[in-house]
Amino acid sequence: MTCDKAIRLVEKLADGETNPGERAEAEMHLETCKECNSHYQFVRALESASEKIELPEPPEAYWQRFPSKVLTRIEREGREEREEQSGFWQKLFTPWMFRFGAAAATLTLVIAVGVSVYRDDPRQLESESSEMSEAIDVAQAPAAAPGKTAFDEKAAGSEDTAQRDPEEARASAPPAVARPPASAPARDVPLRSESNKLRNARPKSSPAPVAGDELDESRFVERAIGTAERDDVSDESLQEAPEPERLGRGSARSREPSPSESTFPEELELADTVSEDSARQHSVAEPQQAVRASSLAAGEAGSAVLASASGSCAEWRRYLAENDDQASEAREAHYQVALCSLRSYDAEPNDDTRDEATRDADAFLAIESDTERAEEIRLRLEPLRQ
Amino acid sequence: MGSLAPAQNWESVNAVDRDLVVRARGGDQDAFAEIVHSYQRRVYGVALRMTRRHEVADDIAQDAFIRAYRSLDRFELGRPLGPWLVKIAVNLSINYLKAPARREHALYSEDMPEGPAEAALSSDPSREPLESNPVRRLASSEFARALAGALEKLTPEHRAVLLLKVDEGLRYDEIAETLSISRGTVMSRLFRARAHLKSLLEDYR
Repeated sequence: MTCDKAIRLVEKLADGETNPGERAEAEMHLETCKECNSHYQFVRALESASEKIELPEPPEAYWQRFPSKVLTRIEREGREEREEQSGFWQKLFTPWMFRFGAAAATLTLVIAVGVSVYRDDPRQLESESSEMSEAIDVAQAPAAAPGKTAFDEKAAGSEDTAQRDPEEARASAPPAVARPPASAPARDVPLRSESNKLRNARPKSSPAPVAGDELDESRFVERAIGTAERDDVSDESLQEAPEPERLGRGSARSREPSPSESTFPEELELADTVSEDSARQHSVAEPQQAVRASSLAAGEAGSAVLASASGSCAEWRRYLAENDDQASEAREAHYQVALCSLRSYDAEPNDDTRDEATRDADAFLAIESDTERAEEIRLRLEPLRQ
Repeated sequence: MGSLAPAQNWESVNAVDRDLVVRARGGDQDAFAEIVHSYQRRVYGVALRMTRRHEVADDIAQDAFIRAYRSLDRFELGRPLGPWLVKIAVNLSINYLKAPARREHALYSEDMPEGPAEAALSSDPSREPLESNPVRRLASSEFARALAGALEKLTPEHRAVLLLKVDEGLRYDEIAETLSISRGTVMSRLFRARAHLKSLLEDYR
């Protein structure tokens, strides 16, 4: 047996790991091999020497405390693990959920305040924004800034609209509740509403019966509304107004309509007795508005009809003179003139009014004969011919 | 050193340990405290022989019992408890010794008396001359101190197999199971460890 193979067997012998055969073989080699015998002695010496190595024994108090230290660590580390687990969820949610939620709520509130302020008074805010100083509430500033563009445009648009057509802006406001005059018929209010409706739907290009003082259509409607709302005009002032020369109806004429009489002539008369402007304004409440609405529904030339929603006979005559060369406007003016003349005759039947009504009606029927309103004029004209 | 290494038979099954383990699994901390009390010296001794540092051995011993407590459900009740605890302590010690950034603690804490290991390897010129008789030299206390110093120069793996064989008195198969290595690896490591020690302790041969 070589020493390389025997040395392993010798170690097994020293460690007590050999079987009987290996033990005999190893012991035989040790008797003949000094080197392997020396190694065997060294291994055995290591064991004995190792037992002699004295490591300091901790004091007894250490052993008494040791179990409690172990249990304390077990309890502490278990608690820390639970805290870490709960802390994980807190770290996961607290910064993101709650902080983000708070920031989002604050931002939403600030934007809502800014939007509300702009909507409430855009022009004021625009002015404020132009004069914005450092003293402006910092909390509103960032919110108002992003909203400013859209609302500035809206505010500017509103301002422009108000500048172009103050009445349109006025129309967008809640309609003023006008008290009807004590002498006015009850249907005056809905007629005024009809006037508002017609005015709101009126295109800007529509011509309107204007007086020579260059009244534009908006001012015309404004006056009509204003007159309708100025229902507190005293009868005395109305009576002091000059009597219209064409109609020749006296101021002593009662405003109270008779039960059998249409209220329209009285209102028209009232308008004529006050002034030409007043007549235009009061004519807003004329029942012919209903006719005009029906004409609209029948497909009449919309813009012209809408534009001529009000006006006295004189105005219509003036308008007719100015627009006689324009077909649609001329027909509308002829219709209004004929209607006014017929009503004048109804109100005060005499030769003059009959001739005038007949002439105006014929003039309208000459240019328009197959429409509903032409039939209306024709029916009203027929009694005058008899 | 025998007081720190009360080696037990690998096959002995302690019925008391079994009962304590069952109770500790149910949350009985007193039962686990009793287990700690029974094996604390052995576990600490393994850690101390491996690391040669009291503070480190104290930490490792505590860690070994904490890991055992958390692994009680995986412990096979039919097996002895001591070797299982030793296995945990040895592996924790190996991990500590193999850690590159392990701290260089003092061998003994202030409240601990100075041990023989450093003195054995120190080149104290005033130490007694070696015994001229080789047999006597190997049996001398001087050799024991030199051996204590030489053991620290072994690799953790070699130190572990030697410790388990010499101090714990385990058989090859038991060492293999403790370190999760083969029986042949145990024999090889033992041979190399002893050869290294022989070279380190050449003067005593």
